[in-house]
Amino acid sequence: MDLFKKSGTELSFMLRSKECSAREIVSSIYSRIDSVEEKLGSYVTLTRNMADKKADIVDKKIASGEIISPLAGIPVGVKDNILVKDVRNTCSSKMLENFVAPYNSTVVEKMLDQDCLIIGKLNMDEFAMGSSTETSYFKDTKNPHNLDCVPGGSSGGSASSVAGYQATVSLGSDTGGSVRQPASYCGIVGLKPTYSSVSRYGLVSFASSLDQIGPMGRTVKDVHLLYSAISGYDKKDRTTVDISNIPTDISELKNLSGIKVGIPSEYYLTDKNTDVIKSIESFIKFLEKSGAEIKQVSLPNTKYSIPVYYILSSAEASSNLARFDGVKYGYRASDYTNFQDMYKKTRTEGFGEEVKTRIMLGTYVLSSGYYDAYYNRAQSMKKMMKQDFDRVFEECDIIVTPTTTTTAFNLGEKINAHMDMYTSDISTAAANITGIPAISIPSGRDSKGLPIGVQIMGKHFSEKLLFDVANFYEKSIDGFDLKIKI
Amino acid sequence: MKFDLENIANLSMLYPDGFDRDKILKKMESIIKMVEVLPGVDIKNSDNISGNEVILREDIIEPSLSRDEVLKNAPSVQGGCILVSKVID
Repeated sequence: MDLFKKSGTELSFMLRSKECSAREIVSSIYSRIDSVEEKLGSYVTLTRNMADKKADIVDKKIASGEIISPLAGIPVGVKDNILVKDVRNTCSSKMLENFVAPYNSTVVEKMLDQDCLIIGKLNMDEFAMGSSTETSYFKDTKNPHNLDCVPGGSSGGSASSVAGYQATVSLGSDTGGSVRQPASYCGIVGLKPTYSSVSRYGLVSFASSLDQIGPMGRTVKDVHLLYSAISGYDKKDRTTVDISNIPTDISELKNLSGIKVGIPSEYYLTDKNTDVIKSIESFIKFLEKSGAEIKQVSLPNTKYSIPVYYILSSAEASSNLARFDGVKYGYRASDYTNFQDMYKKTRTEGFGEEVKTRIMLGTYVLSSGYYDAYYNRAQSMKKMMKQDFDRVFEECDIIVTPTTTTTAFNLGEKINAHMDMYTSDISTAAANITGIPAISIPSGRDSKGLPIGVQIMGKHFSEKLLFDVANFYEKSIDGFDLKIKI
Repeated sequence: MKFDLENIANLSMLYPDGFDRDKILKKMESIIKMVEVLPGVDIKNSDNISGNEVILREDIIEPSLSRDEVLKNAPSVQGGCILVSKVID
């Protein structure tokens, strides 16, 4: 029985009805990893002992008739910037190559409380800076739909492991689209939750005002399951809020009547994106046919998403990454003349080119003479973009856009065309800047057979509605098509 | 605009010779060109829009990691302290 192919909800049901054991699930997942990891390169570190021990606990609980939690015995992969105690946490950087996490992040603590099986730590763009996972210090990760293509990024390992059946669900982090873009490229579901609904404690900071940990899975219900487990107030992250009175359970909708859908006129699609245009148009037709009311709307300031995103995220990154100085933890250069020299050599040798570029951009926009023109102005633009969305949400319940303007590109194709890489966040960054939730779901394939994703955005804390609509679509098409050849 | 690699690298605690000079200058200049649209945008209405409220926690001391746990990841340790080179010559 190929347990690795089952969804989280299927596995949970099978465990409860004793059709399989948690140990069997672990064995199935690791034998799948053994057979495809060399081709996909999803993982940086595997945590088999940890998963085995947890599986034994789950099996004992089931044998003794104890009620198990919905995520018990479900294999989860964790992006390598989310701390798991006593496990290496590299952020796919030479800087943290040998860093072992001394504590659990809150999301991992919550998953372990639910007896999840943590399978390993997943490859990513270095310090989550990138859109293809090619800036990883360790290796490239491949797209399971086409091994010549990137899986997207920065949570590329989180997407490829789930699409390649090396994990049932996974955690990624999304600062400008890093969960949704790889989910779209790999044909899976990925959620960027409302800012402040999921604790960032134990997530290595990139841009603190934009970062959110997000769940990824092959079905909407699996993503919902993981979101329900990790969300909520955490006293260790003062930006989190108590959302326990906000319902999140999925309602099985019969149609979409009464739901108002906003379609922004700013699509950023050109005639080069015909397959993406066709897919989004057919998705909109589906919504309309199902009873939703379609409205043309405008979000005029979203055209500044990319510059605003790069100014704010790089400014925050330049400050957050100042902690990597070779003193307390991480890489330290071996040959230096004095303290200053040690700092500079450590950082010059320990960070890759993309990270150093972003640190310098952040330093530049915060430097004397430029602070007002760039950083302060980007902060003002953030407020204006938020106002755009608030206005649209007065007349709409959700906003629908393509997740990305293209499908997965070839490895190496854009690594030196950084502006193309940067603008790939054009549809996703606005949700981070304004703090709203957004989910990416598969909506078809292009002429080369690569997955296309559609993004559904909602008001703050409206995750339930996003899940309801996404689940309704998934059911209507009899499940997402995730045919991969490997 | 001109990007002063030496100055910005120095402020970033990086050595400019850690880069392919031509490549990084070209890259930084194209990124700056992209963000340069912002200074021209009209933001006069943004002052009336409220931003997010910052909530601070009480300054209460709580148990944290032990000294041993903290030192485990330090590159160089001696006598229970992190060892660094001389700070004042």
